[in-house]
Amino acid sequence: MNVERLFASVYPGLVRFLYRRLGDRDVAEDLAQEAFIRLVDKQPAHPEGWLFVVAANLARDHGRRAMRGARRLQLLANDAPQADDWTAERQLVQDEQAAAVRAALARLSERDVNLLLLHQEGLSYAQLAAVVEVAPSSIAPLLARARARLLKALRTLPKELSDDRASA
Amino acid sequence: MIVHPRKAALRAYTDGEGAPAERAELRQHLAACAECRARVEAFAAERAAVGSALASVAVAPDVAAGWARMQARIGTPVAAPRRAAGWSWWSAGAGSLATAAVALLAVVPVLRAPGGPLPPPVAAPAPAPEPDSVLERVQRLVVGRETAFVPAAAEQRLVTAALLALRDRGEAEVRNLCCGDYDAGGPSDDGFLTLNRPSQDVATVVVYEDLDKSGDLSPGDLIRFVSQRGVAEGAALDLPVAGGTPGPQT
Repeated sequence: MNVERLFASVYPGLVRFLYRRLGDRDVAEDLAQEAFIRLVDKQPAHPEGWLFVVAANLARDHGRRAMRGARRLQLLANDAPQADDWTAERQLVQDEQAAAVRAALARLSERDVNLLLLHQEGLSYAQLAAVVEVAPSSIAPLLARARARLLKALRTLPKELSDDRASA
Repeated sequence: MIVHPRKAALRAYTDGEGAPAERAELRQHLAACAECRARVEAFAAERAAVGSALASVAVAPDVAAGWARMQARIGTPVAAPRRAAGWSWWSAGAGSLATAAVALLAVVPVLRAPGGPLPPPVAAPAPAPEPDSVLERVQRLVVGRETAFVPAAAEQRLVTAALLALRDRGEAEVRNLCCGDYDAGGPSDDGFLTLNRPSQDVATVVVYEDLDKSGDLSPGDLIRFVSQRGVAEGAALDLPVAGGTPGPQT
């Protein structure tokens, strides 16, 4: 197994997955490296899927302490920096979109989030089944429900937040 | 009577799943069934909407820096010859680091690695060196009896501290070239620090990865190489031109 090559191809996706799950880039990178360190020790037969399984477990262990709800929603509540030109304004829009998606993800179950994020990183149904510990034949309906829940959260969240701000 | 495929099968088809024969069969059905085609299009639109939303939460990690940090966390085997083990830090990095080694060797002959096969890219986790040996190595570094080495992972912090102490004592002429792309690895994040002590005829040359992007050697960085020579020899080392010119970090 060429770990260096594997690192170059999988590390970005692993960090993306962890970042989207946890919302902290430094933690995401640390945990992605931790997954690779364990890989070197274990030498699994199917390293790519194995890395994502380990990353999902590391994220679960880490994330339960600090992540849900308040911190992510706080991102939305923060005062936005003053946009003084077109680039800054565009960045602002992107940041708001990202914060909205994070907030929507925070409303989903851990299984839904794992399914959505890992499928986005290209994992197959069989690999997803290994992560969430269900039969591969269950993945299609589970993934469909997870997608529907995310899209619903994205639709309803902005309204709820604006209602909250209005009543504050 | 037309038998439509199950919804789950159409979803799996939309996600690119299924054996080739199964997919061919579904394709054939879809060609003749507008109702199922509409379903597949709706599933695809849903998938695209989710993909687009998730893509807005973007992060692009620096693979080379991540690799370097992971290497530092793993450490190197104590049984390996010091310089050979150290050299693996160059060779085991991203391909750009191997290029860097070649490029650096072209202008810095004294950094040449010993011959023989290189160790595998990633060593198994090894026990940290005994504290005494680390301190001894740092001591050797400070008094200048060891000419060149690459600190093992467990030594990085101590060696960095020793170098910073040496720099901050004010006895050395400090030259810091940070940062440039000396290893041709992309973003300019490589530093080249020279500490000249003419009164002792010692020049300490340090190549480091400016991981924390501070623009200077700091405790969060990764030391790639340390060499101590006479001042004249050290001046000859002070040619970090491989892969680019010093400049602001990108």
